[in-house]
Amino acid sequence: MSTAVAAREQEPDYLSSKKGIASWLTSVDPKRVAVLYLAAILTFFAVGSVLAVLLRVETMSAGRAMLSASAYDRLFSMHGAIMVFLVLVPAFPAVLGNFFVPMMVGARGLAFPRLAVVGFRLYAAGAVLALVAAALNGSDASWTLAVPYSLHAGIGATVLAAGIALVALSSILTALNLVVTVQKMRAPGLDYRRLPLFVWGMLAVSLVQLFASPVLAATMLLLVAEKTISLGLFDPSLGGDPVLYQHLFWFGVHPILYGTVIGAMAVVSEILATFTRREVSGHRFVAGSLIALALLAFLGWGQHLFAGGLSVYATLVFSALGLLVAIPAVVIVVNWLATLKGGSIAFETPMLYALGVIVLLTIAGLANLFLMAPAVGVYLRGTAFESAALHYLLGGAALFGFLGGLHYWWPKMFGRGYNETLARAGFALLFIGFNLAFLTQFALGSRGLAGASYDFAADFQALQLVSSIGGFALVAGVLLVLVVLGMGLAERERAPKNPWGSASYEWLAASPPVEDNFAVELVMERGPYDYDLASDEELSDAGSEEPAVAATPTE
Amino acid sequence: MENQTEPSLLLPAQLSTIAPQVDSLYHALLWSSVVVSVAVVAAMLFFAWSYRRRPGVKAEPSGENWPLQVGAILGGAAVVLVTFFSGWGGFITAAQAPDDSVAIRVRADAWAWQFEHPNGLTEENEVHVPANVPVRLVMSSADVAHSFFVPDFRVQQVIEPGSFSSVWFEAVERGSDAAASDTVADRVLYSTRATCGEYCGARGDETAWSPNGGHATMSAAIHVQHEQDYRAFVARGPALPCRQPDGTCGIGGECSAEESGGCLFTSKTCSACHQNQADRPQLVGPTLYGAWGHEQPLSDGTTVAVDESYVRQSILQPASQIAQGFPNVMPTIPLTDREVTALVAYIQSLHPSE
Repeated sequence: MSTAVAAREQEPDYLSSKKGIASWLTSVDPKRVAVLYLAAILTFFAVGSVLAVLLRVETMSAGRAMLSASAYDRLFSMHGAIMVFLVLVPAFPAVLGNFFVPMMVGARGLAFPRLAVVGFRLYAAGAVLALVAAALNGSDASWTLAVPYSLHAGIGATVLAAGIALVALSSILTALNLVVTVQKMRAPGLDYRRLPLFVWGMLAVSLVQLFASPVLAATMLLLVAEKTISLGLFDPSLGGDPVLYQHLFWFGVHPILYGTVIGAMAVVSEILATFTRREVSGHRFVAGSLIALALLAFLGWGQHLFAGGLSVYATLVFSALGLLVAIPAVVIVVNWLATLKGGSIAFETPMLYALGVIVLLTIAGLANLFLMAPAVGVYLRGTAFESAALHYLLGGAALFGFLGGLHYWWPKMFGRGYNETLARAGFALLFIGFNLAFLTQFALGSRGLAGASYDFAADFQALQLVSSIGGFALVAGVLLVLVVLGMGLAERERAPKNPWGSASYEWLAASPPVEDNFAVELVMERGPYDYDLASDEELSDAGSEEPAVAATPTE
Repeated sequence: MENQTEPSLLLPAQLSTIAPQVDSLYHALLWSSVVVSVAVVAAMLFFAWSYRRRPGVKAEPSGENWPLQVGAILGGAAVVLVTFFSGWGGFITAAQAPDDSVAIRVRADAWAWQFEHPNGLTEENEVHVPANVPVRLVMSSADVAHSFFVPDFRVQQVIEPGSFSSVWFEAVERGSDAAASDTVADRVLYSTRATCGEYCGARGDETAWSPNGGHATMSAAIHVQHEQDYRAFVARGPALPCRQPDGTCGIGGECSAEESGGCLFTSKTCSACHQNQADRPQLVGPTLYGAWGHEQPLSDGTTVAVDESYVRQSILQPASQIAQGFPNVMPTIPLTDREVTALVAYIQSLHPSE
């Protein structure tokens, strides 16, 4: 190693290289952009969670508790819109993707650093519009802004739709950036056979967002136009067709929702490899399945139109197309289990989240079979069962995957750890609370409770109470997790460079990484999961002061 | 299949012919889901514990394991095929209403259900239906999307405004006859509920919690009757109004057709255009007081006797015979046969007492 390299070791990390708010808002470092996204997403996550508490207080018992019916409608609509569009959809590509895809392909940064900044500004503008909508009495048109209800809704719904359009546009830029980065910026020696599963997953999510987000953005803009200048495209009283809106909306949003789950699968695959100290079983098949899920997700939108807007034969076709995702999903879960068998398994917090995702994803997948089998799916559509299945997919699999990823990479991102005991307690609270809150909703929906109901018959009372108690535990878990991670930042002790002893490339960087990610140019002479080829030094969890030794440093 | 007419732990009572079909698929999916979930969790916990990290023991190298991959793909394909083919048997039955169905028209709006029987009899937020006879609902919405959802029948259909949608069911009988009522038309075997399965908002105030005040309370009672009782109910039409002790008109008590007709004459807005008292000015339409039995010149130059036949015809088809010198402006007011009969009796009574 030359003196030039040694000199670079002294470089400050990306967090402390420049000071002041302006340096953050103008930074083209994708890691800083990712941290900005993270701050916004966690803030909205907390807001959405608090809204959920209010909803569960109201539905804890039959009859009116504390909200008016229209307040309940606005709260559940805003809860859904915030959690889906401002939290889950950007969470994987914009936070974890922007930060770690360049590091995991051995690059210094993204292919288009400025595009990432533009992306964040679009997201921020969309988020501001969502806040304006909230200030304008919110939107009560559900998170899907379904026509014609949303046409009668107030100005809040119009502003919210415009906000969602901007967020969707930002997704396109993020996705484009990640795809090009993976294609063009891989370090020498990193061919597609060695590509980490997280990167494969981000590639899959990016494909989804690249093609689905434009549809979502266009649909939202058309809705804004319909509401402001009465285009007559969706409004039946102007000769429009509300079912057209359903098709457009779900054609865009169905793949985007699946994309969040693909993101979680990508994170879980990475965590499993690190905590079992081996490559994920059937690496090529898992990678292929992630891409297959992304493609098949584009065929499944029709399942949201069962019992309305679809002919009998179209229903059968969409049932078949929607079910196809089961094949790659089964391949992934089976290989995860096969990864455990024969591993050397540790159980720190990120691993608990990964195992939690396996359970939640299994339940989510099975519940969605009910909805895709028309005879039962027609009965259950629109009920609390459908809502529970959606929550298992998004608030369960996707969200637990994201939180697992945060716990996994937190030491790398911020150079600080967190209290392991409290973090595990946070996971336990989340996991128990989540299942209590939503297993009960499956039963309620099966018994005929319609979704989005501020009131219900007395015989649903007992299960609703249990569901609310679970919901409160879940949100308590959310707040605990946020506090634990936040307190971690204030720890004096620096996190080790490689606390989990991972062989993956991003752990070769300092914690937190320098602006260019790595102090030296990397040449990948081994794969990211070749634990037998990695040196002891690379796998050691020694302090971050340790010089970042690359797989093979070159001059 | 035998119907389970009481609710179970997870499903409502099976009160339609398709309910057992839907439920057998539900149970098949449920039990296979439980088995798969338990198997996945058990395998996960077993492997995680068996291969927990031990000092000096390294992870085994991973491989492709082709048999595992092929097995997983075939397993996934089996899930797809089994779910698909088992998922549409009952659905096809549910999608096609039998030809001999009783057709009931349903109009939804925020937040009420209106039902119209084949003879024009309407009901608000409740509907009588025959047991053991297929019933087909032809539905439309006046405002936003709603969904007709009857958990006990396992049927649901979204109603988008601007188009018609339909759904059918055949209610089964349950138990013995309900408490015997005076008339057969009032005898109900049992009642169940339709709710709205599509989010449609609510009133902003407290009344959202009262019946039909919003999405969560938008429901209709479905009264299932023996077929002959249903026929009697529909044929009887709505109860006719009578003079109440306080002098106002209302449902309750018994009275002559003439008295009911007098109430209807006001409530159906006939009195807005037709004078029914002596020595009062003529209104927009011909004065009916003292008209019965006289010859009425028509706008086409002919004349007609004001009798039962002419009055009935003029109520049902106002434009068919226009009295000379009057504009053709009378609307067709929806009335049942009994209401028309009562009105005719009342109009016949409008003459000076002898």
